[in-house]
Amino acid sequence: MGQAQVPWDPNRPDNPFACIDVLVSNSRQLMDQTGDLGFEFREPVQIKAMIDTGAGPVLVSKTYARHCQLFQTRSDSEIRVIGSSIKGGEHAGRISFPNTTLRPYDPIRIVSGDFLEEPHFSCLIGIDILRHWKITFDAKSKLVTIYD
Amino acid sequence: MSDLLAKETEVFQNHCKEWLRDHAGEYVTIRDEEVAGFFDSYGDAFTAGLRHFGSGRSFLIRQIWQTEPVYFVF
Repeated sequence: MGQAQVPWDPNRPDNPFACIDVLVSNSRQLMDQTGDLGFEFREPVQIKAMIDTGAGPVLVSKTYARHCQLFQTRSDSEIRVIGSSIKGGEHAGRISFPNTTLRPYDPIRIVSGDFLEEPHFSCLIGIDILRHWKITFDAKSKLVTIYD
Repeated sequence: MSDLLAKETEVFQNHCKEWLRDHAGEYVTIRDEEVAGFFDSYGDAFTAGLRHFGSGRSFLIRQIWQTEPVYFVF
C-alpha cells in the first residue's frame, strides 16, 4: 500500500487548495512502441495537481498536453463548470506521484482544457483517481493523507 | 484541434444507436472507418488500439451511451 502526505491550509485565502506533485506523460505502452520506431517524446515536467472531489476526470492544461505531446483519443469533450462549458481534448496517458509511494495509473484517460489565470496548479485530480484512494482531509493538522 | 479525429467522430455518430443495443457502456476504438473492437474499460480500448492500429496517428476512443457524457468540474 502506498502513502503520501501533502500540506493543506484551507484558511489561506490566497491558496486554500490541497495540491500534490504529479508527472503526467504518455503511457509506457505508447513510449515503448514508438521508441522501437525511433520517436522521442519530451520529458514530463513536475507540476502541481489539485485534489478535487468535484471533478470527474484527471484534467491538465492544454498547454501541458501539447508540451508533452500526449496521445489524443478525442477532440470535442464537453467540460462543464459552473455557469458555462468548454470543449477539451482527451488523451491516453500516465500519471505518477514523485517522492511518494503511491502507485502510478497507466493508461488512464486525461482530459485537457484551458486553465485561465490559475497560478497554483495546472492539473486536477478527479474521481477517476480518487476512487482508488483512501483520503483524509485534516484541517486541524493542515495535512491531507492519502493511501492507495 | 477541431479537425483531429473528425472522420472517426462521424463514424461513431453514424453507428452509435446501432451499437447501443449490444454495447451500451462499452468503449469503442476507431481509426478512419475501421473499428478495432468494443472494450470494458478505456485502458483496454487504448491497449487494443495500439496493438491494432499502431502508434503513428491518433485513434478515437468513445464510450457508448444514449446521452453524451459531460465532465463536471466544480
